[in-house]
Formats: sequence, structure tokens, C-alpha cells
Amino acid sequence: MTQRRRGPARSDSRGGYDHLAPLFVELRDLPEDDPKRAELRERLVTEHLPVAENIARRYRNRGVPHQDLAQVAAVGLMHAVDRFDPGRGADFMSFAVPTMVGEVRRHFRDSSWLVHVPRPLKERHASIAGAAADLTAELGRSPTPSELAGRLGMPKQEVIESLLVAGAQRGTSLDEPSHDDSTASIGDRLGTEDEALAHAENRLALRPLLASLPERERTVIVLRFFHNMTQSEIAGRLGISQMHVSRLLARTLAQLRRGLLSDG
Amino acid sequence: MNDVGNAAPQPGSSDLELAAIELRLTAGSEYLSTVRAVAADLALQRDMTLDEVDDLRLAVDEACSMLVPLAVPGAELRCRFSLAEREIRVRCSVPVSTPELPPTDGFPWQVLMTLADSVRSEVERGTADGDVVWIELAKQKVDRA
Repeated sequence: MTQRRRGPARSDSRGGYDHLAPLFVELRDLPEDDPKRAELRERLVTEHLPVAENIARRYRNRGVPHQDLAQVAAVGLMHAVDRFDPGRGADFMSFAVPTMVGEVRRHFRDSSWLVHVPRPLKERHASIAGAAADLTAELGRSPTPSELAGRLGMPKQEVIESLLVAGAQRGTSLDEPSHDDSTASIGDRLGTEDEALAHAENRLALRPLLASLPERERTVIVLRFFHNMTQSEIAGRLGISQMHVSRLLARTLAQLRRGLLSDG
Repeated sequence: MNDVGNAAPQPGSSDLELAAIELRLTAGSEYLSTVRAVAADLALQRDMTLDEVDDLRLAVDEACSMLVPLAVPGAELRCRFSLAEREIRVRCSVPVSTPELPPTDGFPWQVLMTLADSVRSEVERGTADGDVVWIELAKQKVDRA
């Protein structure tokens, strides 16, 4: 617990919240109707807000906007301030952190059946991409829209629309983490299978075109069309998402098409 | 009407057609995004996996891209999507001035063969639209574990 005390001290130059501990005793000892209670309570909540913020940040990129989570964590913080009993020996943080985390988790659970407020597109797409990656790992194949909808507690049609928008905007990269700096060579990636490639290159007179592609694009094309790996398998192999593979393939096929046309 | 999409039942087509959608558009690569969007939407609505959806979208794009350069200038590209329980079958066709099949020995055909479960192409001579070349491809839903 000591780490937690230190961790969230973003806006606290003293690196902790221990100096606030006496305020809890003060709050507890004030009579119920003392107007100073509200003031003290507010100060305790405000001073601890960076902790709530920090907890909310731990759950980012899961399809719920950060502000919502920060608010939910802050509600947890208020509950914690109200319920904390300084006489029990534990420090506030070891009581408050689980309370806030619990509140955030409950929000995730509940929001799956609450009204489906349309989320910002980017958020929604990020959560779908995350669920798609998880499900692909679990199922050993890419998921269907129904499976994604089930996992996310989102209407299937919303999943489909989001995927369509993402597909229509392919190339403009919605959220893809960039792995483009990975340095393994195509030889490392393909190993001994290079023989098959050499054969195909000769047969299809592809060598100059393939050679003109950036390495990642070339790898994706070779694995998909000469080693017949699925997009998900390629994604797993290269450590990128299926959606990223999809974008790379679409873009590169168009590029190759232009190259083939201008050659012919 | 003489609709090339309505040729006799397809050999190898094990599934009954439940519904069909046909697009007609000017044969130009700048209009293919509409065909891609329809292909993806139909595949998603049929609950195909994301891999299958993308395969179909890319395959349709590739087939149309092969046909567009063959088309009589200003002619119509037709794409008929035939939906069955377990597969989506797409036939794309254009009127041509030279009744020749698209080459099957190049990379584009390799792409089609990889992405789709079956691909074939034919020339139909002397239809109401003159000579027509079509490419037909089918994408099946793989059994779910």
C-alpha cells in the first residue's frame, strides 16, 4: 500500500497524502450538524482527487471515456471519505483505493446494460478493436459481429456500423498503435518459407513490385497470398491487430495494382 | 431483361439463395468504394468473421479492379450479391469490346483465389449488353468452433 500512497501524487509536491490524515480525525470528531463538516469533507475529496484521476486512467481505452471514469472514481472517493474510520488503524489510501476501483468496475459492469449512449466514434472503435484482439486470442480465429456485440454489451448493429466506418476510413488510421519501428527483417519473419516466395515471385513476375514495397507491407502480402495465412494469423505473427493487417493489405493491394497497370 | 446475374444455378453452389442485391455503377475505379462498402456490410450482417468480411471486401475490390480496365468506356459495372445461409456469392460483370477473359496467371488472380473460396470467370457473347465478361466469387462462412 505504501506504493499507492506515493504513486498518484501528481499534484502533490510532498509526494503523499499523510498530511491530510489529521483532517479525518477532525471530521469524525465534529458533531453531525457542524457546518464545518461539509467544508472539511470537500477539502478531503478535492485533495485526493488526483488519486481518483489516476485510477480512472488505469482503465482507459476500454470504451468508456476518461471523464466518465474519473467522475465515477470521484464518486467512489466521496463514499470512501464518508465511510472511512480513522480510528481503525488503517490509512485512508488502503481503504479508498479499493473503494474507487470497485466503483469503476461496477460502472463497467452496469454500463453494459444501461442505455447505449452513442460513444464517440474513436472510443467505440478502440473498444471494438480491443475486444476483437481478445476474442481472436480466445477463439483462435477472428470474431463475428455477434461475438463482439456480446463481449462488449453493445448492440450488434452498432458494432457493424463502427466496423464499416473504420473500414471506409482505412488508411487514415483511427487508433492503431504504431509498431512500424520493429526491425526484424523479412528473412527473420519468413524463415525457411522464403523458397515458396521465390517460386511465386518468378512465376508472377512480382519481384520488382514486391521489392518496391516497404518491408512490413511486403511481409503482409507474402504471408497472405503466398503462405495463405489469415489476417488474424498474420496479425498474431507480426504482433499487430487484425484491423491493422486489413488496412495494410487493402492499401498495398491498391498500390500493387497501380504498379501492375503502369508496367503493363 | 437480360441479366447476366441470373444465369443458371451455379455448379458448386450448395446453398439456396435467400436474397440478392445488385449494384450498377459506371465502371470506374473511383466508384468502387461503394461496392466495397456494400460487400462489407452484407458480410457483417450475415455475421461472418472479421477475416471473412475483409477477404470478401478485398476480393470484390480486386475482381472489379480487374474488370474496370476491360470495360467499354462509360459502360456499367454490375455486381450482384447473392446471399445464402452459409455463403455470399458475388458476380461482377462489364460489357467489353474484346471478348477475352481476364488473365488467370497473374498476381490479381492469385489474390482472388486466396481470398475467395471459389472463383471463376466467363465471357458471354451477344447479350443485350453485347459481349460481357464476368468474374464470380464465393465466400463461405467457416464453421464456428
